[in-house]
Amino acid sequence: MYSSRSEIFGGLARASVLACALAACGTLGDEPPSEAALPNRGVTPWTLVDILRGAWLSSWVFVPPATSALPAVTEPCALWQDGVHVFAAVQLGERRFIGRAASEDGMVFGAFEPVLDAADLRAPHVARAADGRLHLVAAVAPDFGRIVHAVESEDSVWRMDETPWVQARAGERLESPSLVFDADDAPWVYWTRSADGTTPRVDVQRGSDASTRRAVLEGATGCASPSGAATLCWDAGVARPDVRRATTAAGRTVYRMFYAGERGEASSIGFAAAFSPDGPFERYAFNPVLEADGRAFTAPSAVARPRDFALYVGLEGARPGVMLALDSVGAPSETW
Amino acid sequence: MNRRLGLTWGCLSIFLGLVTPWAASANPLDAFGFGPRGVAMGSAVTATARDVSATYYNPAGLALSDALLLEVGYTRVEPALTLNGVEQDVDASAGLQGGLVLPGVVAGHRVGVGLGVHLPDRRVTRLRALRQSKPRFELYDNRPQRLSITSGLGVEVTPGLSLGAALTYLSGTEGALRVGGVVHTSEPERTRLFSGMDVNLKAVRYPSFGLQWCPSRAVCLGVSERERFELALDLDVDVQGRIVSGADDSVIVERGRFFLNSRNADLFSPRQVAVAAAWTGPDHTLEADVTWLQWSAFPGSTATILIELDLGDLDFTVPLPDPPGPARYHDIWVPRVGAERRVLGRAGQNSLWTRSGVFYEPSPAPEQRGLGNSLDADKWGVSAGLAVDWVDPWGLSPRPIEFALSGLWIGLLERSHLKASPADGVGDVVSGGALVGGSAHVQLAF
Repeated sequence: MYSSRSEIFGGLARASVLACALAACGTLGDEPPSEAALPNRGVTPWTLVDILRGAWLSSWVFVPPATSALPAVTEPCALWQDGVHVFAAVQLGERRFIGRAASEDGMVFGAFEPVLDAADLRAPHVARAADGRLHLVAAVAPDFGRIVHAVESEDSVWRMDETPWVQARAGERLESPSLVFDADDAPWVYWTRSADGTTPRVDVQRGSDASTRRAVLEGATGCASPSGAATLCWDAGVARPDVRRATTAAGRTVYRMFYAGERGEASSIGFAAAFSPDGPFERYAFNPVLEADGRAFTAPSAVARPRDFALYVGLEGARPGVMLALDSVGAPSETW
Repeated sequence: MNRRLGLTWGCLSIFLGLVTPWAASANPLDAFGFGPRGVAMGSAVTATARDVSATYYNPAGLALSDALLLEVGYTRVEPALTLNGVEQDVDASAGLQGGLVLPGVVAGHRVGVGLGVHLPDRRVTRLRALRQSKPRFELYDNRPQRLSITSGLGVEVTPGLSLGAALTYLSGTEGALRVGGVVHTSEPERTRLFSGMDVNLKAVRYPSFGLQWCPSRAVCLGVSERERFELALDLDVDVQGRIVSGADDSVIVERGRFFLNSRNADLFSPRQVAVAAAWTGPDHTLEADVTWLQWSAFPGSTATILIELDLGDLDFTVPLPDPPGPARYHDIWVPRVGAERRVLGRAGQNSLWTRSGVFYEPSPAPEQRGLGNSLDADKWGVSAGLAVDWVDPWGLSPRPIEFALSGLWIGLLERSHLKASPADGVGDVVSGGALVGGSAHVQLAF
């Protein structure tokens, strides 16, 4: 009996030593820490991407048209639905329409297909309501005196409201609208409001209810140069909002806004957010998130993809078009 | 053990203690425990620790060891901690553990000197100052990644009552990079700079104390106190020189200076007081501990940056980064319960022990609503272990050799950190996960 117990204990002892040795071997080597799993809410840093088109690398998602046979796109609105879908006011020669193009990788898009044959609409923005239908708002050229609304019917036909949702007051221009649905499925429309003698700002209104209209983001003031002298802020004027209702990792609702900050000819992209659709919108502390580098970045439109965030930005100037920036470091922590 | 041999061991112990680096930064041990018995019993051993682990848990117990003990083993704890449900790549804490206890008798009193070592197998110590906003598990980032050498002394003052003390020693880093010369703004290739570096590893010490009192053979009480420990990283960059321009080296600034100081308290261990009571016998121990940890003194681990720029008449300033906000940690009480029982055999013979423990550690960290992301959560710890006392049939060891295995699971309760600012760069974070570990040890007794 004692002998067998002794064998049992001896076996356990040998097992202990073996386990100790194996555990020590398992620790050989040390991999550097990775940031790939850290939370990323798609604010910064954005990296402009080059896209391989045949044998050429191109910075453009939508290329500045060299001829009138190519579509000109400057203010995209991107949506994620098993790929990236871009809505835009397209100019093809003399023809203007609201078009839709799709891409699996978000870089190379198919041709724009007309969804609304309306030559006077600009800067369409599309959002999905709780019933799954797409809604669209757009500014109306050439006077930019109103913002109109359209909804996609079950047979994929877009029907426009007879009366505009937003009507400009005297001397105002209403441009670059953006649409979101809040948690109660109520629509909120944002737009750039500009008037002579004032800097552009972002206003909001609940659907077509003009009594709820208010400013939610105004141009920044009180900036100083490194020497301490007063200077114009990079976002002295704020324009072209792109607002999305997102859900945080903790399940809260947050309203995210990318906007164009304007200072003279320079235009950079900034980020602001709010817990309520009518604000107050707080600016990100380390704006701008995409800074003008001689090019004027404007008209942002953000997409949350399964593994990263994509930000489409329009460029203005001699060669207008659309570029793509990605924020892919870390694990996406907000969805919309 | 006769009196002469005891005195010899006592003198040898004191000598070893004096020549050994007196280090006992307890952080890996705070987090996961020390020694197979301590780990398996959920660190509820303050009243009954008498082996190598007494150097950490209660040095008073060193006086009550009745044999010279040599212990060596290996421990590893693997974190599976998550942020927003995504597992983070938090480094494992692994290394050799061991030490010795040398008992003796001095002036009629039982004494014991112990040396305990936790030697990480990846890095001796890691110091790093993350930016304040970067999410990290504050208690499992740097704390378990360091060397720990514990040395203590216990004395039995009267029968049943022993006192003990230990010292902690590590080194903090103070360093300066000094650069001087001429900066040529229009022809950079003509810039000439000369540099020198001065780094000191400054000694850091702190004491810890303990008391064990056994008013009867069945009941033991224990109290131990471990002082606060802080390891600072203090670095200077000092650039001085002349700034010139043009072919004729026109002087723009005769004596410009850029000075940057970065300081942070990277490794921090709070002051701790543990109070314990145990019901014990030759074949069993049941112990309950409560430990108070003064986390309210934690200054935060983000570096404070000081920048001075002097460019003479040039009108230029460098914007200072915002100083890190206070950590706002609070003190916590950690209850622990541990038990062991001999299920096979008898004292001095082949025997098998089972051990188990449980503890609840509330988080000292507040919800991270601001810029910082120093994450932590309330924790439950469950542990278990087996120990075999094996009588060496060849007689090489006069007493049974102990082979011990222990396992540990620490679960972090899921915790949401809701940001006050909707435009926070990181946004809401949900932390959670678990740590799983174990150890294998061998202890020889003479």
